[in-house]
Amino acid sequence: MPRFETERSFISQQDWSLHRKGPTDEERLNRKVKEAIKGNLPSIISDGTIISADPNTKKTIRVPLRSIELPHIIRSRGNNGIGAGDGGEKGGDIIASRPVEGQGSGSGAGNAPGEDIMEAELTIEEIQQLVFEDLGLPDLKPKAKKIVESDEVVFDDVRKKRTATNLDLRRTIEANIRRNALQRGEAVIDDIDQDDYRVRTSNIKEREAEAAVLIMMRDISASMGDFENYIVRSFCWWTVLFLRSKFPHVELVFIIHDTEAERVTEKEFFRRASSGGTQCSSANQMALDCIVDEFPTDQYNVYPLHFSDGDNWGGQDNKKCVSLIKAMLELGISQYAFVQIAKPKSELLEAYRTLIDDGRFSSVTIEKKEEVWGALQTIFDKGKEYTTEK
Amino acid sequence: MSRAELGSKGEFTELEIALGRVIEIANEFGLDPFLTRFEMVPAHIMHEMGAYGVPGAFSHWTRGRAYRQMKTEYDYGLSKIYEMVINSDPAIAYLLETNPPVINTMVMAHVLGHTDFFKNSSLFAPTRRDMPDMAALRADRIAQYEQREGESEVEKTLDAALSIAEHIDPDPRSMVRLPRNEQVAVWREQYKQEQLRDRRPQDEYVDLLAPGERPIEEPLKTRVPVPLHPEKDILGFIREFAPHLADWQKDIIDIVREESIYFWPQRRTKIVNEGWASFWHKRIMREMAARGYLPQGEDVEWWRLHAGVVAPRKMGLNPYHFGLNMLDYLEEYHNGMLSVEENRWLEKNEYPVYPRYTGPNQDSPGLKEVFRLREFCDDQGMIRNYFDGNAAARMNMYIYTQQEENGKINYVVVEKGWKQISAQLVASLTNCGFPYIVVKDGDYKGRQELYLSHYFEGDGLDIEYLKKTLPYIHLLWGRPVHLETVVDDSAKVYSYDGEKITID
Repeated sequence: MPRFETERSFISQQDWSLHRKGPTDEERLNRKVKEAIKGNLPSIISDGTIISADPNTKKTIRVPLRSIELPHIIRSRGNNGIGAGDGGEKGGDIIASRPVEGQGSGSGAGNAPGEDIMEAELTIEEIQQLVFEDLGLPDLKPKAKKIVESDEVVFDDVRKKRTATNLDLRRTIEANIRRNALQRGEAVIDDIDQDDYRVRTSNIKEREAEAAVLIMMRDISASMGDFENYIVRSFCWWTVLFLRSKFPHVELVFIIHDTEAERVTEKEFFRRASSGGTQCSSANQMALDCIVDEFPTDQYNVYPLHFSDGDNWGGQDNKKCVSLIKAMLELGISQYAFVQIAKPKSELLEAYRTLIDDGRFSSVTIEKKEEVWGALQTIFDKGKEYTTEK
Repeated sequence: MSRAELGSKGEFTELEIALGRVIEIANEFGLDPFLTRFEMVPAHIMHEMGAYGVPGAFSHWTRGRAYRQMKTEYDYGLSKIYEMVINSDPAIAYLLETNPPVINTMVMAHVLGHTDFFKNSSLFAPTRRDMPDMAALRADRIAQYEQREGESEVEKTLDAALSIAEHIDPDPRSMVRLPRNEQVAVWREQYKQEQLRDRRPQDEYVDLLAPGERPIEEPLKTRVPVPLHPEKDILGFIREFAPHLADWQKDIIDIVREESIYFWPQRRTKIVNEGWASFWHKRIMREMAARGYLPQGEDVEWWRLHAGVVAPRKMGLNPYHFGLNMLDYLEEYHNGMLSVEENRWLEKNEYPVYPRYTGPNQDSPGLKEVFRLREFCDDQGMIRNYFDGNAAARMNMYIYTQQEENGKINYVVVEKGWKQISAQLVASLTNCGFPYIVVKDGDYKGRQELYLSHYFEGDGLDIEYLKKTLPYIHLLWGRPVHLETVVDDSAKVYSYDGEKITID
């Protein structure tokens, strides 16, 4: 292509301050990171360091994200390399060294020093946000409502008090014109006065909250070992936190039981050491009484939730539990959940699954700590609705 | 107007004057660069251009990742990109607006080395010089697909195509792929010819035999293998022959493939290209200083940067260091400027020793040889043709290996012989360092399955990565995918059927 003779290389400088391509693509990466973290949630949320951390702490947790990498077919990294030194090197000289990587790091990949594994740093709060995003109270129905203040602010009032930031220009001018028309007989905009100012004012919106109660029952019999207790604590910790953040008006009832049930405070519920035998019916009886006496189902969405290793004492008690749960379902509770820990099956679970035929009964088993996340999702399945309710 | 611009009006003029002088000297030296548009940019734009390679190219999370990485390294003071240059006509280069003028002057001299190389290396002849415009149009198309098909659908296809982006055939004859039907027609004809060629010649006296005694001609096979010959252009092959690709997916494959083809010559000439640019920035800057064009006392600043850029690495090859030293050596060799020791080595190994050249520098045989190299050599060619014992000794090169001892991994020098070093370098640069994989069968077992084969040359594949990549190929091909390779001296076939990886 022929060129003009005057055309030449040159330097230019323009205003790049509004150019955003890099940062917007960083957003694509962030979305990817979020997906990867969600994929990692099972191991993240059962991590003891989170549960034992003070919920208000600014402590962060590092999550390795191996999946944030686009794989290619590459040659396996050999042991050899080529270097250039200062001339003094002889065969057998050590030019550098590094510690051996920790054992059990899985695949052979990643021998090279400084291999770049992406890590995300998350605050506990961020992790909670991700966890709670997918959880909800199943089949939450409008019952007797409580009026509560919401976080929402609405500008629904106009006053004369003067705060320049929220000045309502149109109304102010209207007021001015009106005053001029009244006082001077001409409708013009002139001499805007203190008295003309109209300012939008905000109010905190009130909204209705669904009344709900969660009855948490925990088996503290001697058969509940360290692992079982860890799972219960982990599960309950997330449950309580999730309810407090998303449904701050939900009431919580804590019941522990061995052969006898006892209503306790939240603190005791988490701390009480285990001992004694097991009669699950004691807790269920207490829950039933509690519903009848305090939380009638026409006013409350009721969610009993029972944790046990399923090691109940005697078949008779299993039957009793079944009939108590049936009674609760009969009363119109929203869901009854049974979480069995450490064992894939038990006579109690067997009895529940064969004798209770109701969509509102839900049971899960947790055998590994990674399964806590899946169990949370099953029990707090926000999308679930039962048509069986009478 | 940005702050940097306001504060540096004087510097800007100073730099414009310097550019004129740099070009003047470059022309005197015989360089012939493209017209080059220099753009002064803030650091974040430099990072962005670095992440994209071409301004305006399509968006993808891997680029967001590269961008963040560069930004972070810059923020922590770990590394700084000084220059970024685009192979286009006119060429585009970016300068960091926060750099002092003398540094940017050196960067401009370096950039002109690159744009001269882009223009004059024969390997770059087939590259599209309108790439920035093309890239912007393609980015628009991809954005439209995102609107229409949804971002995540488009991302899946892009991820898949990018994961095998380097499996193209950079041979200019293979760059344009025929549409499926025409391709099959060509193969059919070739197949016929090949079969006829392979037939035994007819016996001269066959017509003397009775008709019943004559040997029966076997009919030619008509079912043409797809592909007829192993196909290196995996992306191109999938684009034409995958059973269920939508048009927009084919377009995305085209975009990724074209970008990969565009960058291939740069991958092939990393060492030569950087060596060439460093060779010239050094000379141009020395000349600038000699003519008094550089402010007094600012010599140190660019020498320091230069020394950092071309410093040898104890582990790994610095292309700037290696390329520059090779060119210096080549020039001195042909000008008969080598040391006594080096000449002795040449004599001992029966290489010619040239007489000392004393004429004007720009006519020297050494420089002529250097310009010749710029025209036809890629990295492998440079090493094969010019690397020798003297070059290895000049750069104090060695091969090291990793050895475990007392809970530590030591990097130990094991070899200093130039032939071994050369062989290892050449091997590591084969196919730009990517494993050589071909499509062997596009209708494997007659079930439209894709059969890939790795040409094993001593270096195995990273199996973990392979297992993760197969599902991406499957996503594009839409049917089971197989890849044969060699693991621990035995042949293995890795397959992915859409659910799981199996090894055979």
